[in-house]
Amino acid sequence: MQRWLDGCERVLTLVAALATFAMMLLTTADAVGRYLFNRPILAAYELTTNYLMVAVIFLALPYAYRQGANIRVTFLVDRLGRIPRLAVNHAVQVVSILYCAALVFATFQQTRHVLTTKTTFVTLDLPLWPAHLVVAVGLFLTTLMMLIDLGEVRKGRSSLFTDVGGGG
Amino acid sequence: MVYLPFLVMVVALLLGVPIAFSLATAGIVGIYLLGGDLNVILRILGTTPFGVTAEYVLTTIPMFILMAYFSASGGLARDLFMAGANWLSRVKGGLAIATVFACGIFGAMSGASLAAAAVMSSIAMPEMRRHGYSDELAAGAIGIGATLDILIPPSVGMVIYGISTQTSIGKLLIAGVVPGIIVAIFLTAAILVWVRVRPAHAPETYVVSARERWASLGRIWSSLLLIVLVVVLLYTGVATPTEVGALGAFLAGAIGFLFGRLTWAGALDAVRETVKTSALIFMILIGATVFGYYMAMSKIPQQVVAVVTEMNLNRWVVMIGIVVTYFVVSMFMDELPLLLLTLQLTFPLITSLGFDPVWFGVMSMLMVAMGLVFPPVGMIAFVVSSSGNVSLMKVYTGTSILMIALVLTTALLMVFPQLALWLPNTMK
Repeated sequence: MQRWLDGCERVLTLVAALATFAMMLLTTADAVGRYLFNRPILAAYELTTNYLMVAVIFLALPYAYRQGANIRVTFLVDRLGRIPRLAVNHAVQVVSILYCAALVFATFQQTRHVLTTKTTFVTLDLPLWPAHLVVAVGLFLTTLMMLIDLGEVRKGRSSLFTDVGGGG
Repeated sequence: MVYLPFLVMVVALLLGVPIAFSLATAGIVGIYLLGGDLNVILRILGTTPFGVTAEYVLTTIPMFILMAYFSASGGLARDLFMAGANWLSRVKGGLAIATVFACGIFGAMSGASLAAAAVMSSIAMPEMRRHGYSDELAAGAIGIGATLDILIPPSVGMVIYGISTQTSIGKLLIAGVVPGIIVAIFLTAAILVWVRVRPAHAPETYVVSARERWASLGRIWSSLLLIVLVVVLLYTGVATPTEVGALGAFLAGAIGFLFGRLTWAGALDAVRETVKTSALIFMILIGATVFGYYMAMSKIPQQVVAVVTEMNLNRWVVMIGIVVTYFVVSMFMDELPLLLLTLQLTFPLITSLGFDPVWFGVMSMLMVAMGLVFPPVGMIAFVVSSSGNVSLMKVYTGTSILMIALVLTTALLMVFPQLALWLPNTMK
């Protein structure tokens, strides 16, 4: 399971990185085309916001979680003894899982809604549901990682508590 | 009952729940208490992640961050510092001033103050130590210098402020230019006074040949050109901040490759860092939006405005209260979550009192900057301490002294708001 998750995380991060490059190139080309040649790229705006932005953020979410990029206020918890800190950390892990699980459920529902209503872009006949699915999938994998990490809290190895991003 | 979600948020934050989740959890509790049933909550949770992310103006955030990482991984910070050091080598305290210069310019290519603090600590700290500078002066110059990134465009903090308050991002970014320069000038003056009062803190000056000085400028001209281009494009409004972000990232990468500073591996690392940081910021934005639904439904901001208006306080008393609150809270919290957490309450208040939203944007950045370098937490102070291998107490000593530059600039902007506003007001 862990290896499968690691593989998914690597692939999704790569796609998110490619989406970042694509967004940079598409926006630059659109701006240059518009200002210098009066020829903007058709649907650049919608492709960037609906597909690329969503891919950049949500496909990178499992990687961000694994890297311990959560900003937390830790000055109080750091002063707790080992046992109370473990209890608090377990509670924090559970609260985080519950919130993310609710997001997963709600975003899958939203994807189904967009799929059934056959919502498309304004300028192109491209479906919007894949973008919503990307949101749900990114959140789902992150939640799965958190769930597996619940067993790691006791050993101090849950990614939720390795703050490389810091927060005080 | 209506304030219970605030209690939930504070408790969650203190227990170490990630800030993004604390905000959302408090929002969900609040919406539920206000009579929103489970379907309402699920609808908000279902639409918010996509709604917040699929926003064209927000592409500015990953693009500015990418520009920062392209610049950082290409060794630009070292070249900037060496150019400043070579030109100021004969001035007492010159290396500390060179650090401020490098931080300011690097800030103009990044916008991530913590990244700048880490990069500059590893570069400038050993060099200043080699020339006998005290750790306090060196760490203070790096710490306060790094805060320039929050003010000088492109600043991610300003973008977040603009999005949260519906204020023109282009104007906000340009409004940071003059105050950023003023901070740099005050900081330079403070360093000069410091080394005059305590000459032992910066004992050495040295001579660098004219040829070497010009050669070091040759390594940074392209980056200086890029900064000018970014500011000019923003100022003239020829391109939107979103387009400037993408173009800036593209050119920073191109310059890095052209000058042999950036490798493919470095570029991939930069992109990986970009998506990680962006994902983190957007999770906080999503949490803040969920909390924002609660704030809108509860009408708390309007109530706070009404209460403060009824109190008939002088508007500057309210402003000073906000300044002090920001300063205190920012000691414990990073800049972006702080802004997202507080603006929903402070922004309606300051606009109702007739303060300019763009001016308050600059003020917010200055207040956040102070908290980032001041004890007991101060994230930048932590980064300088760990990256520069300096004791935290020495960093705090240095930053607390040189923070005078930020305090004076804040006071100056309160007396003369035009210092921040005249440049954006001349924009088309």
